[in-house]
Amino acid sequence: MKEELCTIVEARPITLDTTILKIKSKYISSGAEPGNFVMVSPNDLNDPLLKRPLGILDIKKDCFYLMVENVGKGTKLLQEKKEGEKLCVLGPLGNKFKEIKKQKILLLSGGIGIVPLFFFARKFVSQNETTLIYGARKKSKLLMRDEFDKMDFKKIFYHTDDGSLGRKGYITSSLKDILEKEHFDFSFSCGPNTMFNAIKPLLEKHIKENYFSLEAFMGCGFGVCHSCVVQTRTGYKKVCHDGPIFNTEELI
Amino acid sequence: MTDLTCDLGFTKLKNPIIPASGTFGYGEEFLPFFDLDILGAFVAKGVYLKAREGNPPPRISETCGGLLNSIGLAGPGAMGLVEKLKKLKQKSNVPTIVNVCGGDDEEYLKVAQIFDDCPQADFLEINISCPNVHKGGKCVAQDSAHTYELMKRIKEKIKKPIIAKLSPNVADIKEVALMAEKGGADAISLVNTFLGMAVNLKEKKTVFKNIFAGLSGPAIKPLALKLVFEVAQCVQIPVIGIGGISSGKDVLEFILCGASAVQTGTINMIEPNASIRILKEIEEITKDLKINSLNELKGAIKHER
Repeated sequence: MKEELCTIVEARPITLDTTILKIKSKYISSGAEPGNFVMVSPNDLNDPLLKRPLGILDIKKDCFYLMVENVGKGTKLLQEKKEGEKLCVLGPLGNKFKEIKKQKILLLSGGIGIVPLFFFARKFVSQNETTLIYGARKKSKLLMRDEFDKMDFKKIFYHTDDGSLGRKGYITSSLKDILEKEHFDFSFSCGPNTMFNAIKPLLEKHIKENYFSLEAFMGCGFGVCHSCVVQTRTGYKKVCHDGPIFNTEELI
Repeated sequence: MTDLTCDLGFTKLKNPIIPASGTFGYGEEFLPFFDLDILGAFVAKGVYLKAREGNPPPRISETCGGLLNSIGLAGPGAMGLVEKLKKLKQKSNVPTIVNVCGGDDEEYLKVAQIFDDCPQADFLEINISCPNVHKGGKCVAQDSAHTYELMKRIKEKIKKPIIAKLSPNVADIKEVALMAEKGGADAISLVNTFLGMAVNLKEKKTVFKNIFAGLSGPAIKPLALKLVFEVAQCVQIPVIGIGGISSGKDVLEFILCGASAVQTGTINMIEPNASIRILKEIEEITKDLKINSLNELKGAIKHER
């Protein structure tokens, strides 16, 4: 964990409100693991004051990749960043996904939750038998599909709320179907809280070990401010420091 | 080289930078970033007698240049902090100030006693801004007679130097400061956060379950500066300035207005290396302005009145 002044070497818009930033960094790109995140300053003007937490999408050589979706003031500024601009980044932060081999894995993603799962897939898909269920509001929000199609997934199920690609409606319908037919050893999920509430009982009924990567509004990202807490069976835990990945059995 | 030492009467600090309670964890969180011995001192996160879970989330809300928090002083309790300080002191010699909290006077006294007996705690900062269980949530700092009473009781019992940390949410902060001094405080630190609130317009409700939350960050700097200026003029004991300090320039402004040292707050959470940058900026500015020592700058502000 370190504060690093990095340079954006590529800013590639992939939709109207989503951009992939390729960031050159010596320290963060050499140490980050799937599941980690970084805190990024939108600017150095103290407005917005706080850094923004962003999941690491990928790492290649001395660069790491972030996907920024414009959901407010801070992410709008980050999404508009251009090649050559400097970024103050703190990272890598948080825990990482469990490293597993030769297992049957189910990945579940909702919306921008695809970010840490993409990094996970890049590293672990080839070593396991992996199925992905990925839902978003509409076709244009189902991101990285070309890359996923090139990876060695057993199956991929796409969902959109409006039916513009894949199955219409929430991912729970595909999840129910597949859990009836197939066995999985592990599941890893990332998405909005409403998704977690819907899939948690289903997953826990059929799969022995399930992990959620949680999203939270954070003050610091390294366990100091105690703001991003989540209720667990053993009291409040910090999403930034104790997570962002939690075994679902810990969560209430 | 500018002389950065600060005289707090009961101790001399190597420089004026003291990360404030609640913004620097228990020190250990910052060990990956820098050697804590570069600091003048640091204040550990506020501590009650027993461990506390803290408030339900959301606990923070961002404002223009500021941060509202309603963390609820979550923490491991006094004995938990003693253990943490023991571990920290194996890795660092940074002078350590414990921020003592209490739901009533008895709790303040018990917590203060524990850290008076704890060799890893150097000084005590009495956080008189905690909601008091017997006063409908009002804090000691909002009652100058109670402030006097509490400081006096602590001073009678405790051997270590005590710093009274004042709340800005009062009608006349000078009166509270004078009563804290009369009660035996060895120094005064000010200010704690300003009460504010945030609204969720879409859901037509308050953001925080406690309705009000404490505002910190650069947004409060001018308000804090004014209060530090006022208090420094009326008390004889050293004043530690707090409120939105984020740069070397801010530090020097507070010292010019009468502070003997300062506490940096929110900036530590946003920029963990802030202390290093701020110290560097102080060196640069004092060199530019030909300030030989911080002591010569202290309280030297010119004004008409």
